[in-house]
Amino acid sequence: MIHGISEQAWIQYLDKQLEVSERERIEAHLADCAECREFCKRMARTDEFLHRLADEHAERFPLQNEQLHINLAKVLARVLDAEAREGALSRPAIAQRMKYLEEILAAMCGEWTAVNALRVAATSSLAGAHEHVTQDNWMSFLKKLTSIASVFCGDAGARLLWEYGNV
Amino acid sequence: MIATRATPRLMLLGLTLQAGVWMGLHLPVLFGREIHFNVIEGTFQSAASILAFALALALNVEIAGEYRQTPWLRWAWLFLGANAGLSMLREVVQSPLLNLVWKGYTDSPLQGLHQHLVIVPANSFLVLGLLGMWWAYRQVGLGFVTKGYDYAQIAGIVCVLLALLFSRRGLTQAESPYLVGRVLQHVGLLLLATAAAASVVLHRMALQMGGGKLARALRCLTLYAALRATLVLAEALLFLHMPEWRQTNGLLHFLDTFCWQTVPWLAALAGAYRADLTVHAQKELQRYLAGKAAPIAA
Repeated sequence: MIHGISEQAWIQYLDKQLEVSERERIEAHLADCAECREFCKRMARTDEFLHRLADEHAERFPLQNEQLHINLAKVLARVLDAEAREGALSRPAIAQRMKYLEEILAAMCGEWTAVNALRVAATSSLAGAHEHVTQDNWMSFLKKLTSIASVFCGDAGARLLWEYGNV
Repeated sequence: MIATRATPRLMLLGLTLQAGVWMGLHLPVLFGREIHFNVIEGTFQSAASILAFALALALNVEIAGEYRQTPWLRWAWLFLGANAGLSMLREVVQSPLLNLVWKGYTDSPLQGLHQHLVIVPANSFLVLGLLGMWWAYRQVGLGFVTKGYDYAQIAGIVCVLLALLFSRRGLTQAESPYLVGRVLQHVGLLLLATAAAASVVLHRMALQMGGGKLARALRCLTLYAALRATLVLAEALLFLHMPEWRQTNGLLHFLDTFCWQTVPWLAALAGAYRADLTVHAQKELQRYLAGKAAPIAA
C-alpha cells in the first residue's frame, strides 16, 4: 500500500486495467503527490522494459501479458520490500510510514482526526511523543493508533491500519 | 452484507423518487385542482417512509456489529437502529390508511395517544444513540471543542422548548382527554430537544474532523435529529397562530409534508454513509492482502 493505494491497484493502473472511478482516484492523487508521480514513472519504465524484453524474446520465451503482470508484481514487491528493509531503522522511513497511516485514516474520518489520532497514539504509547516514535516503540504506537481507529472507523478500518502499519 | 448494496447513492435515489412521485400526486391539489389522491398518496408516503426506516434499521444493526472493540458505539448504533424500528411503527400508527379500517381514527384523540406511545421510546433511543456517540468520540481525547455559537444554538432550543411547554397551546395533545397522552407529548418534546442539542455538538465534531466519510454520516444524523425537532417546533408555533393552518394554508402544508418525507431518508443516508466507510476499509484491506499474497513468477 502506497499512500492508500494498493500494489495491485498500481499495477492495474499502469496496465490501464482499472475501473474508471478507481483510475480517477489515483489520477487525482497523482496530481497532488510528487512522490507518487516519481514512483509511477519508475514503475512505468519497469513495465515498458518488461514489455520490450518480452517483444525482443517473444520467440524464445513466449511471455503473455499475464506473466508480465506477475513479473511486474514481483518487481514492485521487491522494490517495496527493499524500501521497507532500508527504512526499518531510519527516522525518515518511520515518518513516511506515519504519513501513510495518516492518509489512510484521513480518507475515513477526516484530516484533523487523523493528525490528532497519530498525536494521541504517540503520546499515550511508549514513544511518549510524535517525534519519538521509532522502530523500537513502533508496535506500542501502532496498537494505540489501532485502538483509536476502532472508535472512529470500526473494526474494518482498524484492521486496515493494523495490517498496513504492521510491516 | 447490506452495506455493499444500500449505498448513499441508492438512498439519494430513493429520496428523489419518493419526492418526485409524491409531488406528482400532490401538485394538482396545490394549484387548486379538485383532484385528490389521498389514499394513493397516503399509501405511497407510508410505504416509502417505512422502506427508508427499514433500510436504516438494517444498516444500523450491521454497523453496530462493526464495533466489537467499542461497546459505547455498538450500543449507540443499536439505539439508532431501535429508533428507526420504532419510527416504522410510528409511520403505521399515523397513516391515514387506518381510517379505512377504523373510521375517523386520525381525528380521534386515541391516535395522538398511540403516536406518543411510540414517539417517546423512539426519541429516547435517538437521544441515547447520539449521546453515546458523542461520549465515545470525546473519550478518545483528540481535543474536540464545543464553541460559543453551539452553546447559543442549544440555548435557543431550550428557550423554544420552555416556551412551548409552558404555553402548551401549540401542543396537539393539550386538549387530549388522556392524561398519559398529554404527559407523553411533554416528555417526547423534551427528548427531541435533547436530541437536537446533542446533534448540535455532533455537528461541531463533524466540522472539526475536516472531511472524511464519518463526518458525512454525522452530518446526516445531525440533520435527521435537527430537522425532526425543527418541524415539530415549527408545527407547534404555527398551531399557536393558525390552529387550522393545515386546512387553510396549502403551501405550508405542502412544505411541511415534503420535509417530513425527507426525514426517514436522512436516517437511512446516515447509516449508508457510515456503512460506506466499512465497505471502503474492507476493499482497501482486500486489495492490500491480495497484493501481499500475489504469487511471484520465477
